Amino acid sequence: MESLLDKNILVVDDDREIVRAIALNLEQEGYTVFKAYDGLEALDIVTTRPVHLIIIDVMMPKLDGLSTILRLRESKNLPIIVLSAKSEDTDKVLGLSMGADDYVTKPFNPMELTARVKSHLRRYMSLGDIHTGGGNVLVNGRFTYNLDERVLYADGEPVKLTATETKIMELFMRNPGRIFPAEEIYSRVWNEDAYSTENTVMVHIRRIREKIELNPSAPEYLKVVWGIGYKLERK
Amino acid sequence: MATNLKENNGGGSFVFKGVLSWVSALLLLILASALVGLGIALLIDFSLWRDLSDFIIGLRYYPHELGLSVTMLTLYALAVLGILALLLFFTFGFRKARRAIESAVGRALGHIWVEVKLAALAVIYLPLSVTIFRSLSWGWYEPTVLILLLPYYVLGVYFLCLDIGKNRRYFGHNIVHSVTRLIATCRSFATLEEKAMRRAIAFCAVPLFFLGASVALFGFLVWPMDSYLDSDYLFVLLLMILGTAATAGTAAWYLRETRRKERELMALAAQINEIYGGNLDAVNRVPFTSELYHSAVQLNMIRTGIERAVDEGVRAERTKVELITNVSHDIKTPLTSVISYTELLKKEPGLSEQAKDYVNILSVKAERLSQIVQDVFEVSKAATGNITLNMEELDLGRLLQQTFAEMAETLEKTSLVWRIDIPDAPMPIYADGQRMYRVFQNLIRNCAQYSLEGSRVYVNLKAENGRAVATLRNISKAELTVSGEDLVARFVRGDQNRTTEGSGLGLSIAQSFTEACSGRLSVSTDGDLFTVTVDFPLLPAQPQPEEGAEPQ
Repeated sequence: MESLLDKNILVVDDDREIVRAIALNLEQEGYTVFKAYDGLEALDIVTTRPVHLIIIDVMMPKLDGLSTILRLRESKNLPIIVLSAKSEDTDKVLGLSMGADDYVTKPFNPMELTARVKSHLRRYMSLGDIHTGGGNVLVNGRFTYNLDERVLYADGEPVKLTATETKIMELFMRNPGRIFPAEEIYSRVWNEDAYSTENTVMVHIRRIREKIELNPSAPEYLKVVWGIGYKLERK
Repeated sequence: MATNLKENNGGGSFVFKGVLSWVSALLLLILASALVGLGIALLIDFSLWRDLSDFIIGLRYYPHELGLSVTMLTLYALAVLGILALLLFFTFGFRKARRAIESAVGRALGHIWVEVKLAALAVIYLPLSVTIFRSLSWGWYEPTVLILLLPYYVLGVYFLCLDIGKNRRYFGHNIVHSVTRLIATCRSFATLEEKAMRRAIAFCAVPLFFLGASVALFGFLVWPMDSYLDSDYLFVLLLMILGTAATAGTAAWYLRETRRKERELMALAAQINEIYGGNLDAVNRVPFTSELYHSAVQLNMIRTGIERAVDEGVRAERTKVELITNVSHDIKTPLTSVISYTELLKKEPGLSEQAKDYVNILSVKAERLSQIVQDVFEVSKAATGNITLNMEELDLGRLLQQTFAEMAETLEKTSLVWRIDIPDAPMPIYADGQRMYRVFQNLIRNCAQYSLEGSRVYVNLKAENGRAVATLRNISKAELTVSGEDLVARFVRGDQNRTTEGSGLGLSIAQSFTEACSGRLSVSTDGDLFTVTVDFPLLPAQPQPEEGAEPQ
């Protein structure tokens, strides 16, 4: 954890109060925070100071967030989290295609933002040497599943899962992106014939989500495909 | 009958057998009726008996006089008997095949006009009737004719029975009916121009024909009497020819004008049709000289007006969406601060218990406000048709089960008893799963929030008339004073005091999303019983796709 504490985070938003609130939250977690109020200022800080992560708003005067990201990406390869009041999927896709690593919609929960910052920093800092125990591993986005240890790692940290939950996650990690109907999950994890299994499976999915998702009420990885089944998003 | 033909071994031989059997039956019928005719002839004229007995005696004693030997006679008799036996065998042996052929013949007869059939029957009946009438009235008869005509008579009756038996609309299929139908078909295919021209031609042709005919008649009647020809007749004839020519000329002019007008009218109609079809840039093809030119110009003016209105509508719509987006942005930004600082305040040490209580209330309300803003945003977008859908085939039953499983915690907190009846059989529908989850989430939340404590909520799903129908029924806590339709309206809630939680948008969102997915949502109230019905057209049940080999 020591390596995470001396990290510098740049927060960019034209609303000073929001910048201050984010800064206060992050400083409480032990990060150093630089503040900028438009895109040009942000570019200025990035060139003069060591920055490890950027949180940036989209709608800003002088230089808007997306253009700033485009310029930043010319030279920097650091995690960028976009803040936006637009919650449309198209806006999200646009932001991510411009080079952002994450997209958080306003109004956001400060705890969730902090969790995301931690997740990105951990992955960025320990890129390549994330602890996975070595050996046979499956990797998908934030997650790594070690087949020998039977342990799931989120951002390099082992996740405490029950035996059943581990089996479910192994199934998903082996088939990222594939949609599993509840009966199939049940028969493959419990090794029993399935009958009215939707509830049982859903309870476990919900519990796993609490443990692995940054915002369990809006899961990014473990998703319900409504009316069809469940899947682990391939990232 | 086609199936009958097929089910018997080999269609060809079956048809052959049928025809053979049918022809045999006809021959037998003719023979029998001829014999009956002979019998009648014998009854009418006793002198025939003598001829007959002479003939038989002649056969018995003087066969050589008839040019026949006894052996030949026996052979003939045997041959006749053999043919008779063969005919009988064919007739009754292949009864089934014969019936098939009879039906086919009957149906074929159905295609003949009834007038033709009646005429044919008259031809068959008339000579017979005349012969019988003659025999009876004048005592004159011709036994041979009787013997020959009776089979005709019997055959006629046979075909009549066959026809009436197989064709229900016996008199329906007549010439008049067919002609009217032909005319109707022609009429429905003709364009406006063709129809108008046909009318005009008919209108001109009738007087022209009669005029021409009378001139010709008059001319032919008068011409041979050229000896009596005087100037008066010639003058009248000349006048008539002139009149006919004038009428013909006027008719030609009238026809040409009609055709021109019809063409212009058609051009105008085509233009209207094009504009109706959505092409607002349709070109004006009516010529400047036409009386219809003004109408065409006016149509263009209407078109310009519509264009402007459409433009304005589009712009207004865009403004509305922009307004919604901007307003929601403007609300979201301060809300972010409110939530962030409330969260910071929560962590502040040294707050009094009361202050902590206040902060918690702030936190909860800020979250709710955030939810309402999101709801307003979504319902506005759905109402203005600005949502993108991700439609796919899904199982409504499974979706409902997943929704209940997802919301299990919320449901456990309530004092309600949930009676959920979802069949295991799949209910495939075409919809956006995420949106339909939101629909049922809202509906279930509504039940949880507004139901009478301790009451039962009934949820069931069934297939009805090709639709998957989901119903949620609950007993309202507050007295329902508003109608079902009003409840769906935005911001309306069952309790007029608005004391409970909720934005009042739940039902409205549910309806907007359901309709966006081309389903139907209806709400009805009966006393305090509140029923929501969501239904979707069922997709044809598809065979479950094979579980593909999964990548390991």
